[in-house]
Amino acid sequence: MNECERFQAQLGEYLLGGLPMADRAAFERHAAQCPKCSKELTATRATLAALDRAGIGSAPAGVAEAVAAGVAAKLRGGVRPRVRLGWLSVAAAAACLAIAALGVWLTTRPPQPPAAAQLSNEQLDIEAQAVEAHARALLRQLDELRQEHEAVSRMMGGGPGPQKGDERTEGPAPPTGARRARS
Amino acid sequence: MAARDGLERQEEARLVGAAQSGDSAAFEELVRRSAPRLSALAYQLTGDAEAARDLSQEVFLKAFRGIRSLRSGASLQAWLFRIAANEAASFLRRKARERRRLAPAAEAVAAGAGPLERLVAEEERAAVLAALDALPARQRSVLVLRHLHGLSTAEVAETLKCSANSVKANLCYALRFLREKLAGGPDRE
Repeated sequence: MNECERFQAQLGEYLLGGLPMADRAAFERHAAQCPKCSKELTATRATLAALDRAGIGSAPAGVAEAVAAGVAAKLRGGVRPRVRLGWLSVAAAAACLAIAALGVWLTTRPPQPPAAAQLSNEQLDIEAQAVEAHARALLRQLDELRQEHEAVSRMMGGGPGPQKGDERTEGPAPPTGARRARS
Repeated sequence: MAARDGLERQEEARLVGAAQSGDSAAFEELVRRSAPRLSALAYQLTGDAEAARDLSQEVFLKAFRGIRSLRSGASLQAWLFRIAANEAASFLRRKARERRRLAPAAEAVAAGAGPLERLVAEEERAAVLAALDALPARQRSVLVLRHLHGLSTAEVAETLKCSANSVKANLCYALRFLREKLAGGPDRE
């Protein structure tokens, strides 16, 4: 990165007071020596001034009050915070579901013939496979519940995990070398 | 000043805790305190007063529904701003689609603008708002939070859940684009 490129990368931080003192001196020295960069500095300063003059520092009168009143009305209309399910709660609910489902299956399956008291090995295998398939289905349900819970946590922004587009920059590759410190 | 900030943070933490227990009056108080800054941000991100009002209300309602996911000690403002930036990005995508669809009609309205719009200050304001409107959502969020809300690079990075380098890069591109656009440079669209 040459001096002019470094200057361009640091321009915003310099004007917004985010460039450390150590870098400010070199930045200002370059501005004094390079007419092209000096012109860019002046133009960018004017751009920020125009942004300030545009009068968008706050929302138009009445908006904030309307927002507060609208939210208060909806809260009084019965909006409630979502219950936050922890992983243990989900697991406990899934375990209860599994036990209940197993109980239902055991009590509602068709009555066994008298000879069933002495099941053959083949019949025992079939029974075992059915129980195993049922257990697998319950584990899949548990996994789906866990994924759904994690997705809800991420969506609310308070939970752990990265979010889509976290590191995205819109434009060419980010400049390096700029550091922050309010002047 | 620092003591007052500390007291305000304590009070905010108390209100957040109460809201997390389902106390909607505590949340209403948080809304009352945060509404001016949040609606300003919403206005700066959308450029439209009505959209800013709707977006801010939606942000607060989302925040209330999800208040229990806000971790203890986390910044309420950063969280609200993050939800607002995400909501605004969706709004701007819809608006861009709509603008492309209605482009000829919009130009006709601009051509027939009254004398007030021809005043220099008004023209400059309109040019700034149009330039902001043409910025990609992420660059607009960075510029608004960094310049108009005075957040540091680290605070913007925390709010938008991105790296400090991403903030610096987006700020750099945003300023360059605004500078060129206001100087009558190439259109990005």
